[in-house]
Amino acid sequence: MARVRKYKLLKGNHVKQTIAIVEDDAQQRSYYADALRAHDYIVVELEDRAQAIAAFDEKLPDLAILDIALKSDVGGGYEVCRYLKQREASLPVVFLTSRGDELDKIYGLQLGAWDYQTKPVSLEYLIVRIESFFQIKQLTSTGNNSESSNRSGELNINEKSMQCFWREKEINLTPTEFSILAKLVEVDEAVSVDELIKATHQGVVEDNTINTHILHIRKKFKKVDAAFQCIKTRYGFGYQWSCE
Amino acid sequence: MKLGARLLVFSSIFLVMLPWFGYHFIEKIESSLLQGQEEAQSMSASAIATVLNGYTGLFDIDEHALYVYPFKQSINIDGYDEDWEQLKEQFTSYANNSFSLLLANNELVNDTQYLYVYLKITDKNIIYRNPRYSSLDSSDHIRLEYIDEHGDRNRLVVVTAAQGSISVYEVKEDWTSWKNGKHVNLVYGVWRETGSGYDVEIRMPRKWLEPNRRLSISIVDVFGENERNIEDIVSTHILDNDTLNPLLFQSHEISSVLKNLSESDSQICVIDKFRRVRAVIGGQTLHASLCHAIDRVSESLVNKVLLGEEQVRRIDDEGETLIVAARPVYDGEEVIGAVLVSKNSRQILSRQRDTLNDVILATLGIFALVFISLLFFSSWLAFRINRLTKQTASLIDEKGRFISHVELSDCDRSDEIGELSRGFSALLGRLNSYTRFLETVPRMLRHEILNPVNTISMSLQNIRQRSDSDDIAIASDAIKQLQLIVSSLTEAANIDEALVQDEIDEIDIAALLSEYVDNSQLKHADARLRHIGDKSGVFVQGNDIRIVQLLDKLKDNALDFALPETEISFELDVNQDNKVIIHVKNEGEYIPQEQLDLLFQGMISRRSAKTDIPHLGIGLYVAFQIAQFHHGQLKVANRVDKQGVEVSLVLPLSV
Repeated sequence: MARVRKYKLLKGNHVKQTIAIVEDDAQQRSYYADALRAHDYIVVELEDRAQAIAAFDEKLPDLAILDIALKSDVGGGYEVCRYLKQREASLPVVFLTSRGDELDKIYGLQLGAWDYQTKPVSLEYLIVRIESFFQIKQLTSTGNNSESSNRSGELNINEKSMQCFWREKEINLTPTEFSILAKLVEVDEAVSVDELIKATHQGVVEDNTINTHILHIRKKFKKVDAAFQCIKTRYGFGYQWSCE
Repeated sequence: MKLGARLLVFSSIFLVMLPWFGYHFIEKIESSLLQGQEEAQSMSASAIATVLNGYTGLFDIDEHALYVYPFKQSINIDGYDEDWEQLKEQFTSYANNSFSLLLANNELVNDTQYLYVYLKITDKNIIYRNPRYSSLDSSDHIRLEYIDEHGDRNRLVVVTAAQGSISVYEVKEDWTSWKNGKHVNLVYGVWRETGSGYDVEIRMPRKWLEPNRRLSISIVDVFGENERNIEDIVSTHILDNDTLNPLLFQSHEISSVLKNLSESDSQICVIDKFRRVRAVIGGQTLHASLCHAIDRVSESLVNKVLLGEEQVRRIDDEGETLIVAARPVYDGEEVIGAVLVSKNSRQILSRQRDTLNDVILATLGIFALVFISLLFFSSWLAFRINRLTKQTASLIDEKGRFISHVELSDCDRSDEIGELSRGFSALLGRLNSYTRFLETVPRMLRHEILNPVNTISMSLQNIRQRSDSDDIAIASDAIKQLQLIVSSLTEAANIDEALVQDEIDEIDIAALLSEYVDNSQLKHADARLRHIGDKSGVFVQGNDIRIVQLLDKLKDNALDFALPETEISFELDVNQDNKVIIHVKNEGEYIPQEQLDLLFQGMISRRSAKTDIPHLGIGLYVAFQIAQFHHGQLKVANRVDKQGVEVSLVLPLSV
């Protein structure tokens, strides 16, 4: 890790964050870049795996936005993600792709991506997500997680640092999963699928995407507690956090 | 009919014909054997006839000859005819049965010196010799006349005073006085009275008759006990003629000439022109014979031969075929006799039977061998075809998708099934790549469509920042619709793969449905949803999220088509077949029957322009796939009252 040079994130910082966009379509890439630059980010535009890896060897960005299919390299984005995670596990990676299959999503999230958004994206939402990721990243790196702690029975979540503990054991959730869980524990009653979709800050999301996320969240909880049963399905409506 | 079975039937028919051919072949062989035999017999008859042409003297005999039967058992001189039993039909009658006689010589080796004579005389009034009358012809008597070795005529008188041994005297020409007064002891006989007269059995030395072999026998009947006059004389020869009857023995000369030609199973028979058998050689094993113990042969065949025609005939006799070849024997131009060569077909037939047996055995053997080979071969073929069927079937699931690519087992063989396997393999390979291509189409399409959609979407977002036209909102909505179309297409294309990943648990479908209907009512406040049936305790194996996904599709469908203010019912029912049925009914549009069956096939939509959301009919396709994944069925039908549509989901209960 000695070779890794990165920008230190400071409170009330004036240091610009670097975002790498790996996207083979020049037009889309330039739209993302323009939108991000307008929000004062330094943007590095890269069009394929080779170019991306060469650039990252030189210098790692603070956040990476990856398309999965890069020209004829159908899984190129995954490989770039894997490379980045090897270099720095805590680096936020956002997949932004036209591949919306559940299997693709699962794979992407398993690789350690913070988010998986399917095209078409709302540039507004994208900016909001990226800003929140930088905040999370700053909070986790500074270790300041005592604030905004929210307890719900044996669950302990920190919305700012996006950390989640179940019976004192940390559960590693992706930001999207964390948003869903936070929405569920916010109220005592059931939360509709539509509300959960809104909470994920994504454009058009199918019901089934939420189902997939819920399944993943349940699995992650069951890993540390096999008897975990607190996320209840409310058939025809949505889900409810209830440990009774 | 299966290939193996067809092969079996054809070869069986062919095999059945083999023995038939064999049988006909054997018949041909039999007929040619018999023909060959006929020819052989004809040739030997001709040969014998030719040989006998040189012995013309043997046939030179008178019609009045006395035939001496060859006799093969010893004869006891007792006046009874029991010893003569086998020849009793052969007595020769003279003068209206006033007497009949039979001569025999014994062919037994140690008894060839005698000639035996048996006489049966009809005489109501027997006059015995009385010593008062010195004349030898003063009683009923028998005269024997023969030519001795010096050529002199000798006369013997046989008389008796009572039943019993006879007295024989040599007499002078007048037949009344004896020559030397001595009793001829070498001639021995017995006189016995019978109901109709008397029988006399006489034995005399044969050598007396050689070499001239002439003998005449006369019966003299005397009338009156006192008068003693000769009333009648019946003789074997014509009394006015001095010639005595020649004696006709079966010819030893001919026999010895022909002996070497004889066989045990064939008989050579030589007859004279009066059809008297002159020699019989061989034929001991023959059941029937033209010459057997018969002095005259009375077949039409013989008539023709004696007329000079060569003859070959087959005579059926008690199931056996007797082949007779006959050739005339000539003396110059004149036919003096004939040679008959008989052989029965028993030997030929037994050979034929043996051959037939061999053929049958061989055929049966070949039959069995071919049958077993065919059975083995057809089983092997059937096994290979079945294996191919199973392997081919195992490559593809019930929806026609490839499960795995296995090399078909007969691909390396050079026969037709190998070719078929290779054909299948190639076909399946092409099908597989095509299916794979088709499977990638939605994903590819999604990728290819969503990228430009994304560009358009972002352009619109940028434009919106600068102006606030309605057109931008319309374009944004259109983009969202496009995105929905693509995502539902992808959902349908990937539903099978996604389903396979799902975990299966036991779920309470009644509780799920009840909760689902309640929650959906909350979600769709303006609709009237109603749950009918049990609220818990009905279990099925499945994935609850998928069931909900399915119910969502049915609910969306019902909501789209329900008339405003009408009720949509979700009815749960358990039938006797351990199936749970969920009926989703709505009031509204009626679906034409021909559309009903197509509804689950995807891309078929009956949706009218009621909603502005695009619809491809994919919802019901996905629902159908989920139902199948749960080993269930999804049926759609118009309600009986034709007031709307009813969709039924049938799922097996958890065991």
